Amino acid sequence: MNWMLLAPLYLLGGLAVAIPLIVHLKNRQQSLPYLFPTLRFIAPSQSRLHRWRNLVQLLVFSLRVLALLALVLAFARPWQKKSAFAVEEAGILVLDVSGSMNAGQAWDRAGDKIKAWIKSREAGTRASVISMGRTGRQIVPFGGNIKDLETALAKVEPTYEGTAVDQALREADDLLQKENVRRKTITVISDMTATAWDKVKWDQPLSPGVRLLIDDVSEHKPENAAVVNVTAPRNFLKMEDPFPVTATIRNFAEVPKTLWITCRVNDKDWGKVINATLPAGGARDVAFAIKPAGFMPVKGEIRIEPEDILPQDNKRFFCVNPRNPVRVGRLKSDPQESDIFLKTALMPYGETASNRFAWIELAPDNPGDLKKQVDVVIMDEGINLSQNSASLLTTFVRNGGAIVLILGEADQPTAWEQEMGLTLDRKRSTGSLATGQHFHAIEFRHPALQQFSMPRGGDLFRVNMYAWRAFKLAGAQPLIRMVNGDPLLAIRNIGTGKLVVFAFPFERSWSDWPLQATFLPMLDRLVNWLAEQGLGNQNFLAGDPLPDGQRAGKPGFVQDPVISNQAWVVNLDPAESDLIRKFNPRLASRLENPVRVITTTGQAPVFSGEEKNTLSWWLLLAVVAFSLAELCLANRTPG
Amino acid sequence: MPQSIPWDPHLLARVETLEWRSRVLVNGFLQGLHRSPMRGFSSEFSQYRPYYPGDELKRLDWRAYGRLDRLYVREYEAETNLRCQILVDASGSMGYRSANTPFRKYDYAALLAAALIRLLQTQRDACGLTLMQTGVFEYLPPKLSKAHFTRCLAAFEALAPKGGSDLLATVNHLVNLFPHRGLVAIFSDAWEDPDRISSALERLLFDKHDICFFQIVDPRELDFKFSESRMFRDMETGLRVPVTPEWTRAKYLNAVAKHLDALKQKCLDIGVVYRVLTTTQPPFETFAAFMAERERRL
Repeated sequence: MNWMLLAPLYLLGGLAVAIPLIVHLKNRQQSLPYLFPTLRFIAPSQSRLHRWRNLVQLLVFSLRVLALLALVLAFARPWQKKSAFAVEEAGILVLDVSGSMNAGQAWDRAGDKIKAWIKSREAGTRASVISMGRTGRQIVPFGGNIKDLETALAKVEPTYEGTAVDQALREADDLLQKENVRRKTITVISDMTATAWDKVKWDQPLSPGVRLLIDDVSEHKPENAAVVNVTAPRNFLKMEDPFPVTATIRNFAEVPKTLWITCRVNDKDWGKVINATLPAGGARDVAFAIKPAGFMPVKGEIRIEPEDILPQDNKRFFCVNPRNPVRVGRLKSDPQESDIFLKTALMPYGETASNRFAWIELAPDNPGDLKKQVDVVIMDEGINLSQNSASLLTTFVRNGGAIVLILGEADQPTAWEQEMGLTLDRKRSTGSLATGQHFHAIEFRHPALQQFSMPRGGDLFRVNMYAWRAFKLAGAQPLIRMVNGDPLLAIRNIGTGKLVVFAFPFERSWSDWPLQATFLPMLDRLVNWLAEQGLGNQNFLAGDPLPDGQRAGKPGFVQDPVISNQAWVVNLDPAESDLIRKFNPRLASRLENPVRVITTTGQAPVFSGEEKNTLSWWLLLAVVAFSLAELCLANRTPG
Repeated sequence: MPQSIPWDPHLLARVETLEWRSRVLVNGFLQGLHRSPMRGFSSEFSQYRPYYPGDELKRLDWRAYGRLDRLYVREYEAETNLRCQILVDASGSMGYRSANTPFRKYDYAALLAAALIRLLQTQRDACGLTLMQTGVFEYLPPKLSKAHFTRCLAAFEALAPKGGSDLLATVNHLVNLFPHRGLVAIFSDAWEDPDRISSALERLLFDKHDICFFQIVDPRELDFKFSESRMFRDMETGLRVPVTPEWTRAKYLNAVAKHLDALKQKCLDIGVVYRVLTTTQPPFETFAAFMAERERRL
C-alpha cells in the first residue's frame, strides 16, 4: 500500500509549525530572574509545580504542532493507493457505448483499452461488463473466463443512445456488492463528454471498498455540428394545409462553420437548401413548411452537410402522422335531451360528416374492451353499471382512457363513482330560476377553455345556470365553479387517464349553455383534448422503450404495429452531439465531495468511493480534538 | 553602586512636633521626660519613708512629724531621659522594592528610624542604632549629640541591604552592650521563623525594655500579584525557583497570612507593640498615627 498526497503543495503550510515553536521557546525563555524576598513560603511546592508546568507546556506545544500538522495534512489530502490488481478481485468494465463514442477514433481507442483491461484480468479474478448507453446493461455476467469476455466484447459496438453514467455506475456498484472479494473495481472506458458526466450525482458515492477507475478515450476535437432538435406537429388533419417543421442546428465547434441544410420528406428532397454560417458555439433555427402528399405518415429528415467527426448526428428524423377520428363511445340509458347537443357536436352526419369523430354506441351492461374501441367514453346520468361494466371502465380510465360523466337528476351515488373519488353531496343545487346564475370562476388556462378567453372566442360568463348537482371529486382540478364554490366542470387524473365530470345534464331546464354558441366548441375541444391525452409518444430517442415493447435502436422510422397509418420516429440522443470533453480538472473539481480523485496515473484519472476524503475528514476531526485539548490544558491550573 | 536613601527633611522636621513617652520605667542618665525606677527631684510625689540617719534634713516632712511624732522623709519620682536602641534589619530582603512603590523596605525602615532618632534627640533622649546583617553588627551606642544623628544617617547610607539576618543572634549580642532598661525599636521585614523572633523579643523583655516591633513589608509581598510565569530568585538565599503565579498565589497568600498571624499572636502574648507597615503608606502619617495610638494607650 502506498500513500500519496493529492495536493502536496499544501505541505508548505507545515512551516507554520514555527509559530507554536516560537511561542513555546518564548514561554521557556529564561529572562533575568526576579528577585523576591519571600520565596520561603512557596519554594517547597514549586518543584512539583514546575515539573507539571513544563509537562503542560510540552503537551500544549505538542498539541499545537499536531493540530497544525493535521490541518496541513488534511489540506494535502492523503490517500492510499493500492496495488492495481490482486488475486481476489472483482472487476466490472463499464463500457461507454453511447452515440458520442462513434466520434473520430474514440471507439478504436476504447478497443485498445478493452484489450488492456482483459489482459490485466488474472487468474482468480471475477469480471463482468456493463454497457453504458441509455441505461446500464450487464452484457457479460460474472463467472466467465477470459475467452468469454473477449468474445462478448468483440461483439459490442457503439450505439446511438445517450449516456446514463449514474445508472451504469449504480448497477455496477450493486453487482459488486454481491461479490465477496477483497477488491472491487469499476473501470469505466468513456469519452467523458461533459453533457453526460456533468449530470452524475456524486453526492451518492459508491459503496465503501469500491474503486472507480476511469479511462478517458476522447480526442479533443470539438468540431462537431449537429441537428439537435426538430419540432413538428404531432398530427395533420387536412392534406391541403401545410404544417411547419422547425429544426435547430447547433455548432459545437470552436470555429464558425458553413453548413448546407436540407430537408427530405418521404425520401424526396423537399426542394429547399439553406447555406448557413453558424458562429462558434452558436445555434440556428431553420423552418420548413411541409405539405403532406396523402393521408399517410409524413416521414422526413433534416440534414446538414458536410459530415464531421460524428456523422450520425448530421440528420434528424421527424414524423407527422395523419390524424384519425376521435372515437367517442356513448353509454346511455334512455333517450335524453342531451343527445341532441352531443350528437350535434360529435356525431358525423351522412356524407357531410366530419371525419374528426367516430360515434360508437356502447352497451351499458357489457361495453367490451373499451381501449380497443374508443378514445373517450361519455356517460349519461343515472346509468346503472353492472360489476363487469364498472371494472371495464376502471381499467379503461387507468390505462389512459378518458371518461366524461354527465351528472343529472337521477344520479345516485354508486360504488364505481366512489372508487373514482366522486361524492354527490346533495340532490340538486338550484340557482335563481328567473334569471339563472352565471359562472363565477373559469380556468381559462386549460386547453379546452383557452379559446374563450380570447376577444371573439365567446363569452362563457353569459351562461345561465338554473340548477346543478353539487359534487366533490377528490384531487380534481375544477375548470368552472359557481359563486358558492360548487364545481360545474372538473377534471381528475386517474392512472394515466382522465375523468371529466359535468355537474349538470345538457338540458334547458338546468342551463341555457347548450343553446349558446360556446357550448359546441367547448365540447369539441374538450373531447379532442381528452383523446389526445390518451395518445402515446411517437418521438423516441435511441435506447428508449417503444410502445410495442421493443427498444429503439437505430435512428429512423418504426411502423406502429397496431395502427397502420401511424409511425414512430427514433433519433440520436441530442446530448451525444456535444463532444466537449469532461476534462479531468473539471471533473475533479466536481468530485470534491464526497468522491475523491486518488490518482492520475497515465491518461486515466482514477477515483475511489472509498478512500476519497475519509482520512482528510479524520484529520480535520483530529485538528478540532487537538485544539480542544490544547484549550483545556493551556487554561488548566493544578489542584 | 549603592542606592542612596531618599531622606525626607520635611519628615524629620515634622517629627519634632511629636512627643515620645516610654511605657515603662527607664534608666536614664540625665533629667528627662520619662519615669525612672529611681527616686529623684521631680514634682511628682512618690512616697513617705522613715528617716534614716544620713538623709538630707531638708527632705523631712515636718507636718507628718507634727501629726505622727515620727520622722518621715518625702520622696519624689525621678524623671530621666530615655535610652533607646533602634535595630534595623539590613538583610538582602530589605532591599526589595516592587514596581510602583516609592521605597525599598530598607529605605522605609531607615526613614522611620531616622525620624524616631530625631524625635528622641529633640526630647534629649539618647538614641543608638544597630544594623543587622549576616556577618555585620553595626552598633552605634545611644548618644545625645547632633553629630550622632549624622553618624546614624551615614551608617544607613554606608550599609547596603544584602545577605541574611538573625534577630535572635543580634539581640543576644546587643543585650551585653545595652543592659539598662530602655526603648528598643525594631524595624525588620521579619520573614524569619516567628519562634526565633519571639525568643529575641522575650530576651529583650527580660531586661525590661520597652519594645516596639515594626514589620516593614512591600505590598507585593502581601498580595503576590504577578502575572507572568518566570524564574524567581530569593534575595537572601539566592534560591532560584520557577514560579507560575496563578498556580502559586493561593498557597503563598495562605502561608504569608499564617506567618503574620503567628507573629502577631506571639507579640500579643508577650506584650510587644507590633505593627505591620507597608512601604506604600506615607511615612510621617504612619508614624504620627502610631504615636497617637500609643499616646491613647498610655
